[in-house]
Amino acid sequence: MKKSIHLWVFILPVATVLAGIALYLLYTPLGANEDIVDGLGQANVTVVLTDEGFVPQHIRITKGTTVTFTTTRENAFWPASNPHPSHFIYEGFDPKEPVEPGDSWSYTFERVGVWAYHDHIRSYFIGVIYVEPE
Amino acid sequence: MRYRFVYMSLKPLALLPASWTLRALIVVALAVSAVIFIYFVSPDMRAVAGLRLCGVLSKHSQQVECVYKVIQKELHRGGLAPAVATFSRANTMYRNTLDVDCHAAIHRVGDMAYYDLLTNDPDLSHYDFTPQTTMCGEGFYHGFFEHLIQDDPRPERILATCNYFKHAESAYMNKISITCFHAAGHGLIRANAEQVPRALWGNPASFVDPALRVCDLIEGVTANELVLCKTGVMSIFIQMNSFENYGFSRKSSFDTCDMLVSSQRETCYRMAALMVSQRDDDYKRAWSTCSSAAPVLRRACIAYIPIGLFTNGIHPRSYQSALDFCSAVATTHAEQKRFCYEKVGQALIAQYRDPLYTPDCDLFPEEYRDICTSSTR
Repeated sequence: MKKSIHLWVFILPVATVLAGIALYLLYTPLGANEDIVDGLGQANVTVVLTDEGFVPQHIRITKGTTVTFTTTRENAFWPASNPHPSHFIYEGFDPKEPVEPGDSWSYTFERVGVWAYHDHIRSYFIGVIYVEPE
Repeated sequence: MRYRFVYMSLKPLALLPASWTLRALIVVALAVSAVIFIYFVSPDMRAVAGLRLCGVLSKHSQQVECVYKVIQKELHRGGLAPAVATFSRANTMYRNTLDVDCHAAIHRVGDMAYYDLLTNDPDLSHYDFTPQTTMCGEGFYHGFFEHLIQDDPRPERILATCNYFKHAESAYMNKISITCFHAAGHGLIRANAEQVPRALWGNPASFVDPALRVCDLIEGVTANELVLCKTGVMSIFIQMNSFENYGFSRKSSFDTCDMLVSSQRETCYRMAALMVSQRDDDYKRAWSTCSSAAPVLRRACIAYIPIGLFTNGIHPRSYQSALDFCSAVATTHAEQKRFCYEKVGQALIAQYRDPLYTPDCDLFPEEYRDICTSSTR
């Protein structure tokens, strides 16, 4: 009997760990890392606001990279740091005025971190820029 | 002896089939079944599990985005009710992480619901607008209706949308219609702002007047609903000044109102009083300006400061603050005392109530206690 108990003491933790891994994989918190486009090492990258939102919505860049924002929509847009409407988390990440269709706005990210942003005019358009150290 | 408890706990497992392979498979199957139960059958447990996983992320912004991702997943799986329920949990679990107050935080959920759901299926009858969606001063609906009307700023659309809630059977749905008319005003000035040429940036009339005109064109609305639409316009106008958008320079809320023509100021002062008292979670700064304003503007402040105090929920502190406000009004403007207590009573009815807290009517002055008792019945 004691030998049987020792075997269960081994099986149950293994089963628990497997269950935990399954739960984590089923519910990965950030919607899966495969959504983050790799822009590491590039001096310039472009993010386009389409009718489906910012493309790419998640992008990883190196500190010092310049991101150029444009739009294919007919409306002006205004990419700016969260939160809406104060934009205080990353104060420079804000063109301070709308960007018209056909125009663009560029910003060089000098701060390492994870920077969520939105379209100040239509705040349901959101994106995240991951800035890695050089 | 210390292992006896473990031994006794595991003893029933000896009843399982003799084959160890089979026993192992059964245990793993039970574990996986538990995971499937959590994931598919119990949305609440699934959401909590997802929210807890956000806590392992190291970066603040990642945690915030993770929380909203979990909410979005529940929105897509189950609709408004589980999404807002998840937000309610997140607001408790990550209260100091979400960067903004409850009203602004759930505003983003309203944004999400409009874009992810309503743009694909505009039939309001397909959505479950639960009482919980009104939490945090109806912040959800500020986002939801604001963008709906911004994308379609016709008076007919405003009327059809808001009447859907106004003519619903339940009282909380009727209350949502109040927010609908107000948030429609948000959408109108935002829609108009996109049309204002750069040469007119900084000109209040260019932003405010066209939006107010649309409010006037909504047919069949009550006087109060018209005021709601116009206060919605003023709310965003004040915000534009506060954040120096569209060529406006940073001004206090009341100074922003003073830029307008006199016929528009009273509506603007209502929102300024609400926004300042809400932001401060206190009446003092708003009242210090209002108490010396013209009588019609002062009266607007008295009506709206209690609403601002209760926007983030009615709790002992906000309730006491509202009563203290009326005491302050009584000190300098005794003729407005009853009016103030009446407005506190109306605000108690109008704002979302925390069922765990019932205002103590004994704190009202005896001569006005009937106002409280009728409000909280």
